[in-house]
Amino acid sequence: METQPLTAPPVILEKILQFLIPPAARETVVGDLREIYRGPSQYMTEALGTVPLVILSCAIRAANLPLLLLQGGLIYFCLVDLGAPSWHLGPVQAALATAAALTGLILCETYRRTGRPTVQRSIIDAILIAIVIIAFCPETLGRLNARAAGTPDFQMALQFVMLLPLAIPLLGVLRTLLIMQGDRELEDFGDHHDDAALSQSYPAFLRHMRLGLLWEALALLFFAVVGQVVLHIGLWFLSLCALVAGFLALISHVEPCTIRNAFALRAEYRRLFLHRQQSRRFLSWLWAAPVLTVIYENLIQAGLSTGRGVLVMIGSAALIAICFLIGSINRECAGRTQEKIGLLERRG
Amino acid sequence: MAPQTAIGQFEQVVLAAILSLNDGAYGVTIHAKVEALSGTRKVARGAVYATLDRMEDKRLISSWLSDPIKERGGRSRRYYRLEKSGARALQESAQTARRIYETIAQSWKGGAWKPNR
Repeated sequence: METQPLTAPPVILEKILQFLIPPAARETVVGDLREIYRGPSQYMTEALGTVPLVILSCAIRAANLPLLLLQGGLIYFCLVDLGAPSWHLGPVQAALATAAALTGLILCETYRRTGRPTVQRSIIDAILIAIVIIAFCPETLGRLNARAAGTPDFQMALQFVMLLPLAIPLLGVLRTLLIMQGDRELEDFGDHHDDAALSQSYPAFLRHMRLGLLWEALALLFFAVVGQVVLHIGLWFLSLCALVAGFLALISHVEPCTIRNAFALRAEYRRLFLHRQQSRRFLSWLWAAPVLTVIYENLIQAGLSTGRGVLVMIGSAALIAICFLIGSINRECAGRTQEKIGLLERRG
Repeated sequence: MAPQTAIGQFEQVVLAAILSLNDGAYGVTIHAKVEALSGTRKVARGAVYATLDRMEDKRLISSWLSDPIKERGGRSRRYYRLEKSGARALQESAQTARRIYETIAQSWKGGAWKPNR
């Protein structure tokens, strides 16, 4: 029987430590603690003096303050402005809920995986989300249409429920396409990013990033005005978009730092990748916010007030599917960024 | 010239440790060196990691991962090196410390004070 070498900590202790330490620092810190292992009690003492500060440090590093404030704004206004009269939140309740959501976001960011989700995980996600839709819709149908059996609405709702299982392969295919695109992108990055190529492409990379940010700022402003005029989303959306556009314009004008060596250049690329990914994730939700708002107001709220279950069902299914897609795209892109960062870190 | 980054006392000690360790500066060796430089004071390992993270964000140091090492359970070491701005900040701190030392020595000349070695 194979035995554990005496110089290694007990497997269970190491597993607990691996679970507690955020992925960004896991390999280094767990490896260092194993290297100095002298016994279980010494290991635990060292871990107790290390883990809390490492978690705190990773959380501080992961938190992007301006972006968090904007995310807080988006969540707060969605909570205050939307919502049915039955569960409408007051300003204080909404602020507390926003604070809780932001804490959750910081924790998610701190414990973000350092790789892309696996294919198995993607398939499980698609199945779970489809099950949620399938389980939720008949429930709504039962509640709202108890008196409407036999009406055209009821028939339509039934047909809709029967079509729902098709969502599983559809969501799975979309997710697979995302994974394939990610594979191609990473292969390309791995082939063409040695020190010389990185140094050469740095000015172009910065220029491209700045232009992208400026274009997105302009597009956001335009979208916010159109959203206000055509969709009547609310002044909060216009103000938030203007704030975000200002933020994007501001970060697009940050001067490039002077890079003196390959280590500093790789560190700079890592920083830029990470910041871009954090903004990208928030922006994808901001772009989707008006669509989600329109679906909510015109289908779910309208369906609830008129007692038409089919509208609530279609609206709910659309909301869940859109949220799933945005979440998938964000997870995939974040994973890609983390893998690029990993490649850059290992080229020392 | 790039603006000077202000660094605290603990950061000075960590920077000095990285400087003295050359290419061998990673978590374990940096912590050992920091404890040696701090005298009798015990230094929490987590404080060293947090300081390294902070200084990397300030662009005073940079890091990279080694190849996986068997003795660490196949995990890599994260090595650190001083950047130009880090070296400059350390130099400035050393000059300030020297000026303080000279001022104290001058004020207390006559053998009333001898710094511990």
